[in-house]
Amino acid sequence: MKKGRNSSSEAILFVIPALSLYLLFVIAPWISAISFSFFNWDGIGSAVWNGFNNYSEVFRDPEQFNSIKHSLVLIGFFSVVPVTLGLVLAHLISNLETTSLIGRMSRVVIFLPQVLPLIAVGIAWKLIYSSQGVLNQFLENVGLGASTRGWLGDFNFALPAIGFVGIWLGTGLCLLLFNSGIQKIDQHLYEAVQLDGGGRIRAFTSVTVPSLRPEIRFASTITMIAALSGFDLVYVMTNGGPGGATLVPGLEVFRLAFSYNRFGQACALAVVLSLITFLFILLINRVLKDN
Amino acid sequence: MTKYESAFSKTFLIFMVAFTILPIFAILNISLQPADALSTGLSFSWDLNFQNYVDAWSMGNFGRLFINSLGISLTIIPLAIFFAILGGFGFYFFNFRNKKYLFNFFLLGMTLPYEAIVIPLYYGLNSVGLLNTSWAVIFPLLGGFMPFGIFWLRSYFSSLPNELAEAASIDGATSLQILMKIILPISKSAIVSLAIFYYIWSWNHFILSMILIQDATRRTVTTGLTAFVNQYSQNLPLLCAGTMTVIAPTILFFILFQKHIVKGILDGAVK
Repeated sequence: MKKGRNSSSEAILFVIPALSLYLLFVIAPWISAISFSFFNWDGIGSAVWNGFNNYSEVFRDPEQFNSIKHSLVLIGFFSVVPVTLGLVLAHLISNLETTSLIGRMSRVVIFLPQVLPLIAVGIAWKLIYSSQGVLNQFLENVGLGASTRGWLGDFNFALPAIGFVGIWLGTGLCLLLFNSGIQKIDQHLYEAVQLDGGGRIRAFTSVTVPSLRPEIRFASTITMIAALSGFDLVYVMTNGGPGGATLVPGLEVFRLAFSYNRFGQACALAVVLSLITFLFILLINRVLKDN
Repeated sequence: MTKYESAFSKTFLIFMVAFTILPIFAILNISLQPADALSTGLSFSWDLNFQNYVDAWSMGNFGRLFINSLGISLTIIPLAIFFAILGGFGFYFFNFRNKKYLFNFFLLGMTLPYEAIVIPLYYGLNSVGLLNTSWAVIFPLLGGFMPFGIFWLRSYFSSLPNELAEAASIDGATSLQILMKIILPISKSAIVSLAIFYYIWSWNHFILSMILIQDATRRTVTTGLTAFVNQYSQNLPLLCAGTMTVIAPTILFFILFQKHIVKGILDGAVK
């Protein structure tokens, strides 16, 4: 039997409250950002039509273009590494009963980063990376005193240091997602690989990874959204420094608007950021489509 | 499974747990040191000092911040849940023209970063006099929370056995009766999970409140904490006590509801 009623007028009544909130406070501002992006506007005077110049400026201005490049680097740290690492680790520990005490306890603890405010996470890691912080203390204790530094003040290490926080945030989540997915895989598939003379690596590539497609899609999507909206972490850890080495688009939008009073330019970068996010999510969902 | 493999898995999990806990432990540890202590994390002494918490609470005005954030979360959660239930049910129960397009249009909202809409929101809210009020954060978050809520509840409703709603439908029940009497009573767990997500997201939210509420007395916990940390950046124990104060309720909440949260995220993955 066909599910549901054919009543457009009644359906509208149910959907309209959510739709109006969404239109009014998300879509309308976004469309308004698109239209701002074609103007030069300092926030006070009158706006001057500027065509597509703000968009070409996004790619010409080193500060803005670098912020986009940095966010691509962060995708590697926040998304690619945790998903890959999570897959390998989940496969390695797939034999562990999730109902065992250690299994259950670790599940809870490893989820903890998902519920903490990123601002607090950033403050904690900033202290760990500081010149007298935990990381340097550790390095000194194991005899690597020569490599100590103020990590977030170092032009080469600041961005990877923030990226590492992304690994901390994402790996546990991916591990648990994949671990719970692996429990649902039909054991006969693994037995078939063994009968074929395949080892653990074959089992991983021909059974584990293909079977976890929905989980991989979900994990990639949420970690990538986190990578591209890295505003909170960067704002509290480095505020874009040193020398712009950790600027990300979200923070640069904020700066263009409220430090430089270039509202049209800020909106152009904001639109580019949302297009990049949308394209990446679309790509993941196409590549990892269900068969 | 061999004994060796099991021992490896357990050791590895213990390592992951330690790796996850370390930053939180470091903050907790520093927050309990005397105010002039230079130690920053690894060394630990039992000479605990809770004065930092007392000082941080009053110096950071955290009582005020908690009330502000709680007011925002407690306004958002019931409204967002109510509208998401209606919307999710609308997409589940009815067939209408362009339904698929409208649903995808909602999904689009899950990919839009708040950074992309915050500037127009600033001007729009300013022109209607809502800037620097809690509503400046409540309304945009309500709008921003709709896509996930509708997506989440529609998937849950669709996973329920169809017969119940069909039988009631044939008996002449109105759609509102079907929602209230049949669907809602068996959807409690999905609704509780959604409420928990909404609480975490609204409590932890930062960028909208930072830009749209600049009045120090109306700030939320996250923006207030950032200001506090910038102000007392030289006094690490105090700064850490402030940070712990802000994350403690979330950690407590997490421990209380961990079953729902963990299960919620794991279930959501495959829908």
